[in-house]
Amino acid sequence: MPGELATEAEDEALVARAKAGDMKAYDLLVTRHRGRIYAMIRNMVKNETDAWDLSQEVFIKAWQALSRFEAKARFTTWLYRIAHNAVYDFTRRRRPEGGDEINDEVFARDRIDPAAVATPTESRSPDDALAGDELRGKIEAALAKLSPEHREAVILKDVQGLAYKEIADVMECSLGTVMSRLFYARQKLQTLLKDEYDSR
Amino acid sequence: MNTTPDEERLALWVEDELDATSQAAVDAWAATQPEWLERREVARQMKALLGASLPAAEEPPYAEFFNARIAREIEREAAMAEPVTPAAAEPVSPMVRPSGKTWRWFLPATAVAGMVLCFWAGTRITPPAVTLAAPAPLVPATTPVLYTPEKGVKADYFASASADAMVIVLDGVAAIPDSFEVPDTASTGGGPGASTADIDPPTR
Repeated sequence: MPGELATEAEDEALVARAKAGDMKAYDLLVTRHRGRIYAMIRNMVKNETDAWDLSQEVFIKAWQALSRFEAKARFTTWLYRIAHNAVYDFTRRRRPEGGDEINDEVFARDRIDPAAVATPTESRSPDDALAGDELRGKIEAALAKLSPEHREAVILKDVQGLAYKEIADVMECSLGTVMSRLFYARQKLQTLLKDEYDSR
Repeated sequence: MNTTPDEERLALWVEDELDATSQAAVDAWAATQPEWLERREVARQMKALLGASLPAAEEPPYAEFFNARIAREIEREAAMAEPVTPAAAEPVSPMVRPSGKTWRWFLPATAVAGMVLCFWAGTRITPPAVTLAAPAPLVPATTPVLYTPEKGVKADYFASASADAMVIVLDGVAAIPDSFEVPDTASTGGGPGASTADIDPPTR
C-alpha cells in the first residue's frame, strides 16, 4: 500500500539519522511506534503499569541494538520482536506473587487531569463506550485463558494485522507453527466468546 | 486446482493474504473442502471481532513523560559508557602500591577499635534539653516542586531542620470515607498481593 510504503521510507530515514546519533530522530521513532508496541504488550500482560515499563524497555533495547538493525525487515517488525522477547523475559523473571507495587489506579482515566499535556481522548458516546468496554473486557478475559504463544499469535494477527511471515519472524518459529497456533487460538476464543459470536 | 495446495499457501489463503490469481486457484480447490471454508470464515469473524474491540495502537499514559524517560535513560547509559580519562585509567605503579598483604591484618583490629571508640563517644554525649515553650516556626527550606495528579489539589511543603520534620499539606483532597479499607497490596503485614499481570510462563 502506498501509505505503508511511505511510512516505511520515513522510518528508514529516521533510523539512519538515529544510527548517526540523532536523538531527535529516535524520539520521533518512539512517538511513531509507541502506540502499537504499548497496545501489543498491554494485551499480553494485561497490566498498564507493567506494559508501560516494558514498552520503555523495548525502546531502550532497540536504541542499544540499533547499530545492528538491518533494513531487511520493517522497523515495526523488528520492534515487535524485541517486544516479544521483553514480554517473555518479564514472564520468566516475574515473581509468583506479582510485582504490583504501583497501584494500577495511578493510570485510571478518570483521575487524569483533563488539562494534562497527553490526555487520553474519548470520542464515543457514553452508551457505545460502555458496550465497547464491556465487550473488550470479555475479549481480554478470553485472551487471558489462552497460552502465551496462542495469545500472542492471535494478537499479532487479528489485532496488530501482521502478515504470517512477520509473525513467524517475531515469534521465531515456522509458518506451520504460526498456522497451528492461530487455528487453536481461534477455536478456543470462538468457544469462549460464543455469545458474542452468535449476536453478530 | 485439483491437487492440495501446500501448507504455506493454505495458511495465506485462510488469512486472505494471497494475490488475486493464487486466491482464485485455491478458492477452486476449497469449494469442495467445507472444513477449510469454515476455517477461513472463523478467521474472518475473529479478525473483525478483535479488530473492532481491541485497538492496534494505544497511546501509553503520560506519553510525553514516556519519551522523556527513554531519552534520559539513553543519555545516562551513554554517559556511563564514555571512556574514563587517561589519568583515572592509569594503573598504579607496583612501586608505589601499598603492600596489601602487610596491612590486611591490621584492618579487622582497626575496625573493632573504631567501633569501640564510636560506642564510647555515644555514651558520653547527652542530648540537648528540649524546650517545650515557643517552638520554632516551620520555615520552608528550599521548596521542592510538588506535583499533584488531580486538578484542584494544592500542595504546600514545610520543613524544619530544628524539629527534624517536614510536612506536606494537601488542600482540596476529598475526605476519605470511614468505610474505606486499606487494600491488601498496601498493607504491611498481609500476604502477597494479587497479580494482575496475567501471563503464564512459557512452556519451553
